[in-house]
Amino acid sequence: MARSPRQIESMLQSKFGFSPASARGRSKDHRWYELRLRGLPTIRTKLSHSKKDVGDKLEGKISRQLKVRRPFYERMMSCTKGREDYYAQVKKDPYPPFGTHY
Amino acid sequence: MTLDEVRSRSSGVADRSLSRWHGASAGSSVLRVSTESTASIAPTAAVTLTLPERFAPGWRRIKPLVLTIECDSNGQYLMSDDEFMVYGVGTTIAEAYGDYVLSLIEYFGLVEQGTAENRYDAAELRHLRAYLQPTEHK
Repeated sequence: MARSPRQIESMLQSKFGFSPASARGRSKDHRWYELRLRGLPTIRTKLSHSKKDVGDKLEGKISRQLKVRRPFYERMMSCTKGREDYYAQVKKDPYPPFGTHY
Repeated sequence: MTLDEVRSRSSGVADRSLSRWHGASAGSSVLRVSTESTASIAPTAAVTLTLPERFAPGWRRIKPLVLTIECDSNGQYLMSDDEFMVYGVGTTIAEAYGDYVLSLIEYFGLVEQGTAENRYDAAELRHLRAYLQPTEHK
């Protein structure tokens, strides 16, 4: 199902606890969101200011930034997975896994 | 230099760099990536290439960073890496490249800002610096 960047942003903030992040000199075309969970590296994702719906492959990239597999991401967006499910998932089985450099 | 200036100046880098990317591989077949802004990739193909050493004004790539270019379901081009999970989008390959470069630099800035309070960001910044570094004072 096609979603707009606004819909995804709204879900990330209201349902999953992401906060807007502001990089120094940040571009006006992007909005970054961060989630800090105790004991895990910061999870960051980026969305554009575009009003166009997000493409299928791009949603795949966003799901990887969120550290979940695509089916789980779809359930997050369709409201069958909530905040606690998501936090448990990234703690138990982040995908792709956090790098070995941490 | 602002990030938007980096974006506009890096599109020229994209044109020059794409001209060196002739013969980038897509699976087992070889694709030719044109320097023209109208260059296209079949929706089912994914082209991989390496971020140019001078990928943006004021920045240098140290270690090879592999990028993938794909065509998305909405006709937009998508450029991404699997190391930092950064992506860029655009209606042309050059635009996607400019957006990717800008996003990569923004990501670097966010991680750098996070190092004061987060040991994971300190590790991520070391990892980033193994791949790219600013060449001028920010």
